[in-house]
Amino acid sequence: MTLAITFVILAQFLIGFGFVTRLRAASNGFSLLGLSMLAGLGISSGLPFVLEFIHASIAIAPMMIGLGTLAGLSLLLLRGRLAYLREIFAWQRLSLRLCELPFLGFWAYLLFISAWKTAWYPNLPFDTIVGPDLVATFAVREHTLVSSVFTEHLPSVSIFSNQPFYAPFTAMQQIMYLLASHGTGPFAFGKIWLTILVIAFGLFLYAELRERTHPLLAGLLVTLLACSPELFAYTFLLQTDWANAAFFAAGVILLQRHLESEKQGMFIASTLFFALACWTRTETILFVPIASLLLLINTLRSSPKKAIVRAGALFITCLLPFVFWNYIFLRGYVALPANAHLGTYHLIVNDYFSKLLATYTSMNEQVVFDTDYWNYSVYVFLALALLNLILFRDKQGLPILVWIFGTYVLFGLLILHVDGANIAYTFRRGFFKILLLMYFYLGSTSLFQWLSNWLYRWEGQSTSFHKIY
Amino acid sequence: MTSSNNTSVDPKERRRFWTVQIIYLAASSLILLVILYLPRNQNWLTTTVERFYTQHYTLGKQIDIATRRREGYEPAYAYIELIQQRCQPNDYFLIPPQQYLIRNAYQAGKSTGYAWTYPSVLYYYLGKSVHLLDMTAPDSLLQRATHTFWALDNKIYLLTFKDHNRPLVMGEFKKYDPHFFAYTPQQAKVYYQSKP
Repeated sequence: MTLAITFVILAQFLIGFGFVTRLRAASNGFSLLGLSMLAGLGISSGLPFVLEFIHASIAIAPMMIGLGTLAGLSLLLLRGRLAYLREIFAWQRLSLRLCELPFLGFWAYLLFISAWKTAWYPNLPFDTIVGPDLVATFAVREHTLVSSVFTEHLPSVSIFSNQPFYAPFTAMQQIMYLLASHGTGPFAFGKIWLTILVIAFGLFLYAELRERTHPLLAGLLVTLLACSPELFAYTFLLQTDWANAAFFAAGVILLQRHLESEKQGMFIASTLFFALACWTRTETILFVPIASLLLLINTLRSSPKKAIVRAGALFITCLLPFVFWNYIFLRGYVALPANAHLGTYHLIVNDYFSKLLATYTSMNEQVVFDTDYWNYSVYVFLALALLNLILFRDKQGLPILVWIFGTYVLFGLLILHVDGANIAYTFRRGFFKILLLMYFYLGSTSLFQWLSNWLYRWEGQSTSFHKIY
Repeated sequence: MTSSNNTSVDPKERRRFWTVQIIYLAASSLILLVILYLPRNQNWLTTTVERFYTQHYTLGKQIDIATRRREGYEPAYAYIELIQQRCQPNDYFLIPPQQYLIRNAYQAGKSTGYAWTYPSVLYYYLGKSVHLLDMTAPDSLLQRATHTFWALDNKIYLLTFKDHNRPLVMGEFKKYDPHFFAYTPQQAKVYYQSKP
């Protein structure tokens, strides 16, 4: 790994580390490490815009200075957080059990080949080479975000779709890693950040599940999830969807923590991750109202004012990246080509409900129940979720079910009404979000808590968890 | 558990601790094996993932960028290299209508659906090594075209425009819809099998 790439990864980690530690958003060391990397990747993706607006060149030196400065500023946030760090990095919270080793070995087997394919192959998906990587490649080559892609190429051709206008997170990461690799060596194609993001999210999810359930059960859940061919394929095929799913799921998990603990830091971190999800795929803004709704339901009775303020603040914060990218940057700073049609939607007058029903049927047939994409992971989720509901009939983890169902329903409406959204691509890759939540839900159910308690009792340990928020 | 604590742990307790750990290890290994031996998981691991490891075994040591691009971009790379070798930055490459290529050289592009002729794909590969011209450009601009692709006997050749061939090529290209685009090989096949 080159020195420049190592510096970028380290700086991004530190940027997130200071921020997440200040908010006390993680409840154990592994979770903090994963969450810090995710937050760092997200926050640092704003840096190319800062350079552009201060008229600095999109080049290696300004980028490194910017990353170094952000990392240094972030470290200032660690003041007064030493006791918290000591507590969540305590050996009891970090020590691995023997039973985790086979699972870790299997995940390493999958991640190794995924990392190799990410690094070795150039960018291949059509959507990437005419979208984020096209934007990034020319920004690096021409040292500006307003490259000839926007000023010369797109206005001169008749056929182009919306890929160059995809939300900017993926393109910005590509810019940073292409600059750091200088277009040479094993990481010449830039996209190794995707592997880092997958590992960071995997670590965060596993740490969260491991805290809610016994490590044996957490390992079982993550392994079932890992055996989803389509989810695995996009750990090395660069697109916007894996990053979007990771940010979105992190937002949901942190919001769930907030609903359980009422801690302010969890709420702020959750809002940040939802905003980052909107910074990664534009349509995510349509799913954010679910978060506001859950906040309202949770606190409306006890504190109506606080409920409305938080629900509104979360939605407005998520609206900022959406408005900035689509209206300030693309329609203001960069002149959109005259023949670009972004985010157009249509109304359906006749047979609305039969068309909507047909959309959901197709979504189920083409994506949800297609075992070529997910092997057993969807069916295992449905079976275990049903078993949990039959056996326990309680509200444990209910907000996560609301997320899963709500996201699915909104995808149907999106596909029906928004031009360009489709089942074969938009929903197939958008389903990653739902799949990640399915396995987080299973880890939150009474069924898995009962199994965990049974295992802990068997081994003679206390089942009480020491939570620090 | 710290080492100082370890020294004070009752040997029986320690034995029990390790027995439990080893039972868990056996259980997790068994669970993992059961998951991996489920038919679909086994099939995925022994075909797709195994194939990736074979790729790593055969290609892993080659880190030359051109080799990696050739391996990744496959059919497109030959055409891109041809344009880069034969055209100069001040030349104009006329992108032929995709329908023309599908109709006249379907065999050559059936696996790609000619997605490489999408203007932004060509721009991604070629950058400013040549000016790209779209068939929707005004006639005055089309007259500047210096090169294009021409299909003959199901093969594609790089053609240099001359006074004598320009009207013939332009006339042929204008028979096809410049706005049509088959993004996938399946869409290209549907067009190929439709009536001319």
